Amino acid sequence: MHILKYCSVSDAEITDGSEVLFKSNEKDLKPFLKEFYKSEKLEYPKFYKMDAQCKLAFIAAEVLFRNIGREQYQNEEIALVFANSESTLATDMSYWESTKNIASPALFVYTLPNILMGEIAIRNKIKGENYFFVSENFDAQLLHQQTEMVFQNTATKLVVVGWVNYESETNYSAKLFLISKSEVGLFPFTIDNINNLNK
Amino acid sequence: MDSLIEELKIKLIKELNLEDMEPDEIEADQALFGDGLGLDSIDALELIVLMERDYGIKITDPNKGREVFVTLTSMAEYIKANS
Repeated sequence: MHILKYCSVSDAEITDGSEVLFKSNEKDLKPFLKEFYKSEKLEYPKFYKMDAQCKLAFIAAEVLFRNIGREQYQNEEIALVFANSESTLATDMSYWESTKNIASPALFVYTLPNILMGEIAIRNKIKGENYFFVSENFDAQLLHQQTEMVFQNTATKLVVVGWVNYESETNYSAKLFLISKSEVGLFPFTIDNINNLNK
Repeated sequence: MDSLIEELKIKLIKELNLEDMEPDEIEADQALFGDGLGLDSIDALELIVLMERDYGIKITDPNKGREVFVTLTSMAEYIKANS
């Protein structure tokens, strides 16, 4: 197993591998992501309807899937293994507030963390296995173990391993890794390498 | 009636996060669902909430919803007749 590609979104900065792709002066996440969305001329109106955590995951995935030869893989051969520490707490709180008047259906749909994998899957036509874990901290061992298991037990050839965590407009992070079953790539997919790239 | 339709356009953009759209781009007789404005089932629920919260109109019958939410004109007519 090898890491083919990785990217991150944090502190108003988007990186593609080790290269800074986009940097914003916007302090808050949502205007920062909107700025990127506009600058890249992305056309996906549903983006505006997503909650902040989904927007974060969506934009990270847009960067990750660039120039990877997506067409080499069947939709069923791509899996998603994600985790975070907050689940969907921020949206849960917004939804709870809305229930004091009339509960918002649009907020309700974002009160499960795996919805962000759904948004990525719809956009990128992914129909493989998907798992979402909630762990206190970034746990490279858990992500590695689960990815290994997916490769062993299914027809998966590519796994998107992700940590997407939104606490507030100024405290958020997304880190995505594209893992191939093959023995060719940037780095071997090891726990140490995941931890090193997550720094 | 025209002012109510203009009001609904602004509410639609705000409540349904149609951020790429301007009120002028929405036609009063444009279909809200399907090939028209492309709203989805969650948007339909938000429209039901909007009707109750902003105009005091409860829509509990799904068939009635289908009639009311065809276009902005049909929404405005229903609001006018029921509020």
